[in-house]
Amino acid sequence: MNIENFQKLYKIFSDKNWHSKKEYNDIVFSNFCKLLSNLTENQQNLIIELTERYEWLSFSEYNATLIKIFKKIPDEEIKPVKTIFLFPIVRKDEEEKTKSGHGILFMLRGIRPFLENFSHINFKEVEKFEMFESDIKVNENDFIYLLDDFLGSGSTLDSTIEELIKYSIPLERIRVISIATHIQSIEYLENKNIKYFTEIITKKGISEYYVEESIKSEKINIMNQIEKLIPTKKYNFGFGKSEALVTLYRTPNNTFPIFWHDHVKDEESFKAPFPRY
Amino acid sequence: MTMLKMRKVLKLHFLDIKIMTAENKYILLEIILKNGSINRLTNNGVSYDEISKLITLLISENLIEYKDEKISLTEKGMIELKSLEIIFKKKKKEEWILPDEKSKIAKLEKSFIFVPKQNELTF
Repeated sequence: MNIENFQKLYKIFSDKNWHSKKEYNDIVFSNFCKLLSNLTENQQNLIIELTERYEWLSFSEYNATLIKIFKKIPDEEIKPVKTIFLFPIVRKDEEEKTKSGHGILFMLRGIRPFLENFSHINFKEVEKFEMFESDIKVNENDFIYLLDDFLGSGSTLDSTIEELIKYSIPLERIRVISIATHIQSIEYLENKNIKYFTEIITKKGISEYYVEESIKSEKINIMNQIEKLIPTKKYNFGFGKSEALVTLYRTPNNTFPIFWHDHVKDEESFKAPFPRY
Repeated sequence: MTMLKMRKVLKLHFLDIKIMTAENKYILLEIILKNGSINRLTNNGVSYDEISKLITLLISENLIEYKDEKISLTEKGMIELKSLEIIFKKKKKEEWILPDEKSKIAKLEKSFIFVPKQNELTF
């Protein structure tokens, strides 16, 4: 990597306050440098461009962000509510596993007492889908808040909502709360007319950013070249081809894999800037 | 002043930062002048984090400047580089001939057939 690109990367970290505010920033910076050193000039330029638009929210920022999101919920909607059921966004076949939605559910235990507008509301955590069959009765003024830190392609969200529909839960009683939401999930929610509250909206990093077709296809070609360094094709352009540019507590697999998957150069394996493993 | 003494003086001057040896300073100034690869510093045991600290220090000393996404040597930096060159300039060609990183391209597949664009041909 030449010194100019090194300095560009450093400036991005400084401008975004990543050097000062993020956990493990020194490791991430070093991994970024190693990645850039393994790329050609064109490839480096693309990664630098994408990094400029990259969102990184560390775990220490979750509390404040969740409070911000809850403050977005309008007062007139909250006032008549008696009970809010909190449920993680999870596939039925994975509800025994600990997923990121469970993390948000747990964090809310600490935040709830400080949400003044919600002080009259009884929050109930729901642990399994089957509880909606007998234990839970969603009344006219009650809501189900579906929780997660990131909504990507929308497949898990769709699976959760479809399952709730089986228990005759009306969609207008559902609210979706997530720290970051990818455009594919936003489109899904808007099509279903389900209200959502989120802090960060992410778009497809290449195909929805570049307008001119020739530039777009050039960038896609460059990314395809870069992804040849990744030993698996499974996450080409991110899970569900999401092309996301986001890292939360853990980087979602919807993000371009070069940012989170190990890459191999000259038979040597290198850690990604934001490793998932 | 002997070369050894000169090295010592320069080293003492930057004692506050362990990695800011006169040699690293020389390498960094030369890298900036030629837009060379920072691998020369990492190969010398300097971490990426330390390189950024070195750059910040050189900016504060007015030896380099960062303008419009370009990093370059100031007049003072050029003089500094010239004086450091006396001590550190490499004699072996492998040490001073550096790869042209800008012209490096991705490795081509064995089956790839290169057909240049008509307007890029020189004949």
